[in-house]
Amino acid sequence: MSDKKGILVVAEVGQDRLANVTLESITRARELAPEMGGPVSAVIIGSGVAALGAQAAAYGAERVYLVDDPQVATFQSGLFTDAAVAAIKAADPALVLFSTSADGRDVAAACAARLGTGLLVDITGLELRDGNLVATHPCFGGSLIAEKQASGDLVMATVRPSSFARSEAPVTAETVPLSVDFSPTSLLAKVTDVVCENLGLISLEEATIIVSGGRGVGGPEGFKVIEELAEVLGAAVGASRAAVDAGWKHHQYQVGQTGKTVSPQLYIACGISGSIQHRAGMQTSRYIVAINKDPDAPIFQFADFGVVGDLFEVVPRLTEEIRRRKTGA
Amino acid sequence: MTTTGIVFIVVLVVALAAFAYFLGQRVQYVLVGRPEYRFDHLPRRFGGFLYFVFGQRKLFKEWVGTIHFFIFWGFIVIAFGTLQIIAEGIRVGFKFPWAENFGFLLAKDVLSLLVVLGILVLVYLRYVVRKTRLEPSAEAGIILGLIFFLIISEFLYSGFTYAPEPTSAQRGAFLATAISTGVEGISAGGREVARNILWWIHVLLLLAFLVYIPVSKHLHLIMCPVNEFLRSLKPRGGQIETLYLENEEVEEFGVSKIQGFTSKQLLDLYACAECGRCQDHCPASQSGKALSPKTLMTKLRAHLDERGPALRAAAKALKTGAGVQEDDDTPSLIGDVMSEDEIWACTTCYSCQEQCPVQNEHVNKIIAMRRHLVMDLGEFPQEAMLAARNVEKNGNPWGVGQQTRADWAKDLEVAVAGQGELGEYLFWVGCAGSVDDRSIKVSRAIVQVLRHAGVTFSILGTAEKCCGDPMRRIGNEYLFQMLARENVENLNGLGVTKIVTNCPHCLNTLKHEYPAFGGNYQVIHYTELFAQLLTEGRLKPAVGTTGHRADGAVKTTLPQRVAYHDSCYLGRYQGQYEAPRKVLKALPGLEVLEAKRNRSKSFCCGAGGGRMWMEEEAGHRVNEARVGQLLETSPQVIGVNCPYCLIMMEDGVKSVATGTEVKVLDVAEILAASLTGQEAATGGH
Amino acid sequence: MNIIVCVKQVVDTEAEKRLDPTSWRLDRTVPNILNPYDEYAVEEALKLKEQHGGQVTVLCMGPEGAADDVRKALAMGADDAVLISDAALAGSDVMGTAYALAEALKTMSYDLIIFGNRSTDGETGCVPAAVAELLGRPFLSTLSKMESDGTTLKVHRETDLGYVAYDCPLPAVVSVAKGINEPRYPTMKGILGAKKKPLEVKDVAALGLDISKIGLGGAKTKVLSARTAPPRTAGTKIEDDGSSAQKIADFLAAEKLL
Repeated sequence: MSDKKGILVVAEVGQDRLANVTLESITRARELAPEMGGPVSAVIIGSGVAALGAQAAAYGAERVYLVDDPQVATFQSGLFTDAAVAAIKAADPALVLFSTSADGRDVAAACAARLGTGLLVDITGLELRDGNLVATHPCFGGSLIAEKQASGDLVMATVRPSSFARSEAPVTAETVPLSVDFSPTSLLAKVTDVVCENLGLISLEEATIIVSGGRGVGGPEGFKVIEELAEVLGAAVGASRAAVDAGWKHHQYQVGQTGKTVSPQLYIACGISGSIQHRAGMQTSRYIVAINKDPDAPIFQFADFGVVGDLFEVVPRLTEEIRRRKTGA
Repeated sequence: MTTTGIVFIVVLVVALAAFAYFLGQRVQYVLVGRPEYRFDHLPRRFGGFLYFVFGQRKLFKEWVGTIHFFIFWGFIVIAFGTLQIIAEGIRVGFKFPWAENFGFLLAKDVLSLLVVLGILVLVYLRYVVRKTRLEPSAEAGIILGLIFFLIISEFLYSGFTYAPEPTSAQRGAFLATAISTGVEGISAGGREVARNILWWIHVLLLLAFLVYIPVSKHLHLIMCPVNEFLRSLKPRGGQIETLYLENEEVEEFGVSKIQGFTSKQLLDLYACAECGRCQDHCPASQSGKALSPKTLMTKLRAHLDERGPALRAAAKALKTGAGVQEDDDTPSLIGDVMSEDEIWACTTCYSCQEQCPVQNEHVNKIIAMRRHLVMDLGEFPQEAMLAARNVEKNGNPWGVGQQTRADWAKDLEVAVAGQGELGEYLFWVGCAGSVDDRSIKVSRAIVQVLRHAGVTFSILGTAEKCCGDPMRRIGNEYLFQMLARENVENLNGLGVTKIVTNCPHCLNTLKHEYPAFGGNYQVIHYTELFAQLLTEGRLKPAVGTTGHRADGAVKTTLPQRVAYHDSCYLGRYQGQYEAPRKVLKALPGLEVLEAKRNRSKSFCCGAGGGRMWMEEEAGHRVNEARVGQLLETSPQVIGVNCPYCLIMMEDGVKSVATGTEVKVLDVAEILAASLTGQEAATGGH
Repeated sequence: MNIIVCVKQVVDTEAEKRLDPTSWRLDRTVPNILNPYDEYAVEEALKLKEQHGGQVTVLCMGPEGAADDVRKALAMGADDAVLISDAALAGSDVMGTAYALAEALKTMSYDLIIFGNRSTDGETGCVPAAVAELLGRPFLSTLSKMESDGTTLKVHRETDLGYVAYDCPLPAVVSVAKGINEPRYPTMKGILGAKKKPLEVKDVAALGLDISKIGLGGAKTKVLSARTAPPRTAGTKIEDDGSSAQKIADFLAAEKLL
């Protein structure tokens, strides 16, 4: 057995807070720690992120590595990898958890390649079985659930958002500032501009509720009713491939096999027939509500609650009803 | 010979030379095109030539065609009169046998009068009413004026000739006789001077007209008869040229320059009389799109006139070896002559060709240019490109998984050819019928009807792929041929001989386009099969709107008022207008309503020619226009026979008939509903 | 400017995918296509080539049948292709794949390596970053815009909030997002020409790969078992009669989703 011990969570920093997936990973790490042994630690990479250590501690991270450096104010794959590797070397854990996101994948893959470890990608479950870590990974759009194991004394994994519950368990964390010697190769790419066009937008992967529109929405202007419902629910807006291919929504909104894979608590599909393609991206949602005028649309075969009706009548009424309940009740 | 005669012959020779020169020029321009063999079936061609030219058969689709008929025949009769006039100018006293024939002269004046009246009507339509399809152009004015004054001068000349006392035979020319009475008072000398002047006016007008023919749209007087002779004898659905695509030497598979068209296609340009009937029936023109089939012809013709001399010279140089390359300065048709919007607006509905009195072939020109955009440049509308990629990957333009193609029939236990009995017919379901939620209901209705009638059948299941119709029509011949070969191989491998289709587009492709790939089947549309089954008594529609269900409830599912919409590919392409009507009329209590535009004049739903997968941005929507036309009949149901029409009409009803109860149903669904009622009535289910 | 585009053959996105229950490998008897994300990568490479000249080479690792889809990239306009194909590579995991690709890339000359953001069947999206790391090259992923003057790259990396712009000297490794361009449709000239373009197939021996790092045996992660996800079943389904909005709200409230 090696002397590597504990779990390190490489934090994802959202808009001035730790992303939910990071808090979920810390929570899950905390649950596994007694059996695995060793501490739960987190590394936060960014500029002016010292205050976020408290948030990690609130969920149970006993040690927080801080790479607080203006050079990593904005994500840059090489520099973040250097920082994460420095934290891994400092913590010497048996398990490193990243998030399944664009940034998380880049850093996880580079860390695994640099350190020569295995990488479990996009896991939704993690448990110890006879002392071995077993990860659950839904593949092919969630139609299959694979159980996977990584060999070696250091295991890395990226965790899909919303896979684990998150709960607070405040501890007093030891803060360990790390200063990183960035490699010359990592310093080659330079950030020249940061543009935030969609400030305040809820990202699809992080959203707990998603309201999506498909072919039945009929056009870009039809998305207005979808957006209004999303607003009262505090939900993110999604779209099916048909709506994106028709040019009604940017592909960043696309949910499905060739778009984003989401697992929200609630997925409201409006005017979406529910092709395999779309299903692949959303079938791990906790609850699915479907509104479609075609009673035979496949979406009704896997929706928890289906309404056969015109979305342009049902959705505005639903928006009104929820607004009434939220403000009135 | 008179002095007048000598002068006249000089003028005549000059005029004929000019005529021959200009005509020869145009003939040479036409020959710049690629050769195309159209000299097969000579007796049939000649028969058609007589029928269409002398019978003026394609003109009677509209009442104004009657005017053309009289002008055409008027001209022929008047020509005999004019010959006489010319002859007597050259040799005093010369008389053709018919010159003093009462009947001939009577006919001449009657027809002349009709021509004059006709001309006045045409002037009124073009310059006063200003019909949108006609330009109030100077060229048209010159021609109408020439004809008008040619006849007037003939009246006057004859009048002065007959005065003071017409012979009894001459009295047949009753108008000239009337004029002769009017000019009696003028002295004989004065009359002779006037007669001479009128002679020259008449003859010069005639020669002016002659010279004007080859440089104006009146070239159709010569080119149209040739065009009638060379008309396509292929079935309408089989007229798209099959390209040989393996030749790597070929620079261009589509047509980018005017000389890329065939000579026959170029001949079309000169045969066009600019009547604008095509435009009046074109769904693109009528819905505010850039395309007009008429301007397609006139723009290409103007371009050919302009580029002709250079192309001719280049072709000559190539032949003599003096030049090494073809004329490369000729600009691309696309962009410089035709806009991409025009090229993509066509639904290939065939209405232009149905209407065209001179047998012009518009659709193939559009497809040839699309082929250039798609196969040579890879530039076509994004949505159409997506449809093509979907077909490549999933065998259908919607991009639904090929593995799920037979899912619509999962619970129906339909035999799959190759796995079960082939049956009498192979039911070719088509992409829409297999994967589009709405059209699936039609496929299921067809299955229900076939079973009711005891017709055995099977489907290809997941082995069926897009027939290729939309791909061929957007110009993606390569993809079409891949699909055609694969489907033919499958069908032949299974020994299929009889096919019934859901979709008229599949019908057309399998029936008329697959033979070129070795696929020879007896293909019919389900409406044709149903009509046949009704005749044979194998289908007995229910009591209809007031039937009683087994549980005693009154059944009122059958609509009473159905506005029937002819699809282009069952209607105009196959000429099948009656079978679907027969099916509908067989249902008791059902009234078939006819829109003003019906049968061969039916208006496209807007989805043919690959338009189903392209955005429709310019003007207003074709499907909404068509729904509007159908709603004029106050129907309960719009009856269709094609999945494209079904989708388009439903969309149209949603936008223009919101709040009404009007439904869009396929003929198969209406029939199936009546059979269900019958089953219920007899207690079966 | 020499560009290498790494592509993958994937199972059609519309097809139902199955794993072979003995090897847990993907059943590839269903229709295969060129990974849709890779079409964007090929297009981006061709656009740069049109600007700066040079060669576009396609690199693919997969079964021999993948050559069909490599030809599609050649039909779009790439100049030549290398297909790494060997039975010993079957079952390689992310790191094994990255290792094999990196070793092949080390034998080739390039200014830029372009990947599609991820594949539609493996879905890990991790191979490009790992390859960049193994090659020791700077890496930029999820690009929504890319420009180059021949020596440096100017790119936009897509984020949820907008984008981050980077400058990076060449050589570099990048991955492009869907929507960065409109991939061209192959012309007939391209399709006919692709049949004659060089496509070299290399096996493990030719690349001198370390067998312990590739294939099912060399994988650092292994599949213990796979099961079909419990099928979702249809729940309540109602016809809209005007009260459905209320009923949805009741349902959401009952499941504590409001």
